Amino acid sequence: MGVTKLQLEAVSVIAAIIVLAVLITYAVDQSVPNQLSRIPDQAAYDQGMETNAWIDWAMKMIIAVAVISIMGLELFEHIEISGYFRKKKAGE
Amino acid sequence: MAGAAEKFIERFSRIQVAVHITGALSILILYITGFPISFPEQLGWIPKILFGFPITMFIHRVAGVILLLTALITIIYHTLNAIFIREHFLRHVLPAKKDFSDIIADIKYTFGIGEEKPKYGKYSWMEKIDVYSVIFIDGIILGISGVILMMPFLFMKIIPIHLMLSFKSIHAGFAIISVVGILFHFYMAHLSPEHFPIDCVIFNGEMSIKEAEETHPEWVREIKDEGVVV
Repeated sequence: MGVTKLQLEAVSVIAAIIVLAVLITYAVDQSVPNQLSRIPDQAAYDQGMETNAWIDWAMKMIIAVAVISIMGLELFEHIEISGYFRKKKAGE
Repeated sequence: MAGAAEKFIERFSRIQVAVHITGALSILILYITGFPISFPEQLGWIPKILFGFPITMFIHRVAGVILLLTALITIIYHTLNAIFIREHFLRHVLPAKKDFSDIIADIKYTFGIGEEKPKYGKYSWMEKIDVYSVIFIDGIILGISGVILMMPFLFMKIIPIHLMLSFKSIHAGFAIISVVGILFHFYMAHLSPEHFPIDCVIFNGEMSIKEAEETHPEWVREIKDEGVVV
């Protein structure tokens, strides 16, 4: 078989991490059964929780700025790889 | 084509390769199981495939814990390395003055103003941005907000109750930024014409010296000076 010791070690470590994560999650679930994500927004609102309008607005702004920045970086990377301006300068 | 005598150097250690694979898979699972929670009307069909919302949520939390564990392993590994082996991983990753001059040189080169592409160290400025975005967005912001959402009644002792639901929008909002960032990372690492369809360096940890000299010449010079590569 073409299985190396390194591959076995890696699989063992990853399997151990997954088992540990399942156990931790299960233990947390048992001790705190009411995750916020399980509570519908209206029920949470009734308990005194509400979304903060200012935080919601700030999040939208952060998303917009971050996504535009990442798209800018992507465009820059694309121009660099294509070499458009360098080729244009060289008269190609 | 790789020649028989082609030499390779270690770009990523075994633990970095293992952590990357585990982290990447957990992030992928987090996207698949997380977005249907934020957008149930559009993506509600995904939990149906995964045997319902409770099981999808459980898988989401398990994947989140896996990601936090891999982050913990990374921190412990690099701390122990720095203390006992004096292998300073951070010296390659911390922002340096050279990164800022590289950004300017890179912009000039890309737009045909500069003649020469900057000579990158082990990680270029863009790769450093990539690393920091994963640390801050996926590790810190999504990690902390995820843990708060996982056990809200524990955190209500220190966080005002009226702010709790806002962690939902913070978690979902940064998840959108994260997926856009990972798509960019995917393009840079695997889908760009230089590496398409896949760059195996992150899977076997090795890079050919020829490629390293083309893409990260300053790093090759450094390790030649240290006597790692002759």
